[in-house]
Amino acid sequence: MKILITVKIIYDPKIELRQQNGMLCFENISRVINPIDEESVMAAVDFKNKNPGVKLSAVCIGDDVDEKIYKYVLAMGVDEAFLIRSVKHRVKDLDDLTIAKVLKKFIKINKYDLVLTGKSTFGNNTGWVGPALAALLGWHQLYYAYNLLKFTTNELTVQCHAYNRTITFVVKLPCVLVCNFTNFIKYIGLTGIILMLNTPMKTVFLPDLHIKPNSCVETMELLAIDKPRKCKFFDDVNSLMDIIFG
Amino acid sequence: MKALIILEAINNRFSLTDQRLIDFTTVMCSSIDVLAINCNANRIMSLNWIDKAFIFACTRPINVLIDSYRLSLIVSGLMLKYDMVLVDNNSNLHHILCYAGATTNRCVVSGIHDVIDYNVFTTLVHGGKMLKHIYFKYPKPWLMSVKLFYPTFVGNKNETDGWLRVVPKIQIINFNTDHCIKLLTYSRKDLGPYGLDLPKLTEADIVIAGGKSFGTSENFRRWLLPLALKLGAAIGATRGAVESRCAPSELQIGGNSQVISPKLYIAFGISGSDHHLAGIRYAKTIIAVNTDKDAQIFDTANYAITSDMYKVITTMTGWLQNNTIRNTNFSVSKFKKIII
Repeated sequence: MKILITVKIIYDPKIELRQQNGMLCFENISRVINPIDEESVMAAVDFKNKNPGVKLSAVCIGDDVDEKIYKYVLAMGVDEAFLIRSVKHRVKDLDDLTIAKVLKKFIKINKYDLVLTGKSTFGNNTGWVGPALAALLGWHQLYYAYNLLKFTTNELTVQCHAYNRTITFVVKLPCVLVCNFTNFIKYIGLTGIILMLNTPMKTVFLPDLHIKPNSCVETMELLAIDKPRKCKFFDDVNSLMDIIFG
Repeated sequence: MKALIILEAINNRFSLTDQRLIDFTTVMCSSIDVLAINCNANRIMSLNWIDKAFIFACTRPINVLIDSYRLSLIVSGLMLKYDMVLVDNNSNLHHILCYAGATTNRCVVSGIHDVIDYNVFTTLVHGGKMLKHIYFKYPKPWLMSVKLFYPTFVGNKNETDGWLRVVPKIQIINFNTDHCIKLLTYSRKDLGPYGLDLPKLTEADIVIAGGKSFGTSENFRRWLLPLALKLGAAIGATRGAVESRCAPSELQIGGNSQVISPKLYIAFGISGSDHHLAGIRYAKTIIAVNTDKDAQIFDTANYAITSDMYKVITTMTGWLQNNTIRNTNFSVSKFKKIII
């Protein structure tokens, strides 16, 4: 069974954003692998260790700058890592629809059975790629997957967490899972790092789909500014409670 | 403009967020239709401001996960007649809308919480630190997944008392429930991290939160749980508390793009790091309790107490026992009188 994990590289969420000349300044901010995607990778590696016969690949759409960060995916235990690079357009200009179409073509060529996508990213909270891929490919889909159990040739057992309950499904492959793994700790061992240095990254160039990257929405980004609040200090709790609830 | 809202009734009941979503849409559109899942004709009447409602007729209740394929196709067919389609961001229907959008070559914009102008919407990204103004360029219908903050528009109940109530027209859609995803087991209801039915962080009116100064998870639970039960509040935690295992990760505010907007937010022993403050920025009233007078949270708090948090919690519980609050709605209605 071949599993593909989609990875996105985003600006580090812990770093403060600055505003410069009225626009948000994104230079010199470090980029990291989206934490939700990291957990998907770890969960898939865990699944692979329990079930031999599973081949893992990861794919990311990015620039040259991201290659050094993306290499860590190989250290985590993924067999192959693909980095899709775009020649004509900058990656930031590609909107979600184009990304989904590019990924669909990639999946069809390489014949994957299972695709794991993340629920959302920090930069854009939609998690749109998972359902879009399912729609474009015509595959089954499941949301809120949080545990992969076992698999046979045609079917996969998955646990999902929805409606405050844990539900176990048997879904026919091929299938797209929108994942929300939370229990896996990122662990890179020494063997992982050696493997990472030996295995080269495979670069794929964006297929020429004759799509102009005009996005479907136009955005303007601003820093969210705090409404200034004036603080009143109190010494006595009872008087504060009287004011609020009294 | 015409809007379509997709709602799901859990246990044949609609939640407050569903009505708030409809109120939000009345600002932009003149006519609103609702596609309601797992709901019967009687229950639809409990929603205000609707023109037309679509409900399903099927042999068993629709499970959004199993029947997602067929549901998405129905949505993608219906939505072409409308100008806007809205869904709640936290619900299971968000993915249905994404799928339906992909079939018609449209992107879904999520996290929208406000509308400024005819085609300008605001959303928060990057953990609440960045505001984005979005302007749709593709042809209608515009697909939006909305994450509302505390209701900024209260339905004008006084004005509509004298009016004739418009009864929505109901259209029934037949739904075939053969499916290819087999359901194996369905566990018992997971009652949240403390085994009790506390309100959800994103929906609660009052939220109390603790930092890592509580030390152990035993301590965290022992102090905050009784106060939360008395107030009917949800419990939250900072990222420091979650990382040092004081609190389970579902309660984390800030740092995981969880932005909440309760009416009252009380922070115990929280110094206020950037991402946490970004997560609570939209709370109406903030009370901070911290022994450190220079803590950063005091810049964004409305009221502050600089004494030991354990003493404050005991005094608060004592006050609440002496002056019984009938229910949170009663106490929350008092907030209108506070001058900030």
